[in-house]
Amino acid sequence: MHKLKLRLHYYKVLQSFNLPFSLLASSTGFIFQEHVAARIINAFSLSLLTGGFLIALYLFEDRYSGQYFFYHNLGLSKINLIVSSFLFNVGLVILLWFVKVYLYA
Amino acid sequence: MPKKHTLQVDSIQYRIGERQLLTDIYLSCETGDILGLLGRNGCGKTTLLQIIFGSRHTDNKHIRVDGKVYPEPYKHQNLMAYLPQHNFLPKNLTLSKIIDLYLTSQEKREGVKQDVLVKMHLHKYAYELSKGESRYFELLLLLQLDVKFILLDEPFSGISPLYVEHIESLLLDHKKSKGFIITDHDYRSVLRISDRIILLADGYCRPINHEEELLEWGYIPAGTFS
Repeated sequence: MHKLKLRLHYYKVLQSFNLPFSLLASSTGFIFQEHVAARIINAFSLSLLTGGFLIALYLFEDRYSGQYFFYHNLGLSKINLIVSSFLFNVGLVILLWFVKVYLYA
Repeated sequence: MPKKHTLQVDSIQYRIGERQLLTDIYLSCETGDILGLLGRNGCGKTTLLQIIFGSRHTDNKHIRVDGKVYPEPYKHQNLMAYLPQHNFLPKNLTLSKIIDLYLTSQEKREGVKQDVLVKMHLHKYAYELSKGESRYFELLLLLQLDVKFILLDEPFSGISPLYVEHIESLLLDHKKSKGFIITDHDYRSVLRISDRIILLADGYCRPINHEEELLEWGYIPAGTFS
């Protein structure tokens, strides 16, 4: 539970970089005429797992790289944190997929 | 009486490009020991501490705690903590929230929150603290972890004599239950607090028995002891 809280803390910091970028990417959904909501969700989900995620990792490394020791001192490695955050995003994307299915059912 | 633990660091080699930074390093530290590590800028002190901690990779290393080998000690809980040179606290949390996130024991949380030098800053963010306040808080937090050894990278750097004194007394208070490896350019503080001194020069560790040897090895300028 303690390590989960630490992973969630790291995830929240990453999301502060990832979300604005992914929201911006999701706006590309508006260029389509049909199924706009589905296309917004698709673009947002794709960015959340790819470009937005990579940008967030880069910005964290650039600005807060020393903060990794905060987690290392409690036994969490960089790889562990990154994989956990990616999996949280996968969970979020699955949730969004259900929203999409519900909207177009 | 707390159980004695032994940290042995052996055969560490580290190369950056063409330069052999660390050459066959050997160090040992026990519970109750404060081992002072001195050396010029760029001699590899931080690199050595990070290799011991396990966050920096090198092919050649042998790190044992109580005779058991650990390739990356930091991944094993209750083994080792590292105070890096620069601030490592999250910028988006107040000190009070950092304490709650970091420590699981309610008793330890309260202990830190009631500390005279911390309690007035509990609602501040880490970046709002002065260097001395920040260093003191970081160290106090790490000392609460149930680890056997703590590696301190420049704990006295850029802080006022008053906070140096507070940090020294914190270390002495916890000396019975942990072993420390400490490196800093404030060599007078390191000499004052350490039980043993090692000088890292030209990639080798050299035990120092008298302060004058630091002069002989060219670590401190001539005339320092005259």
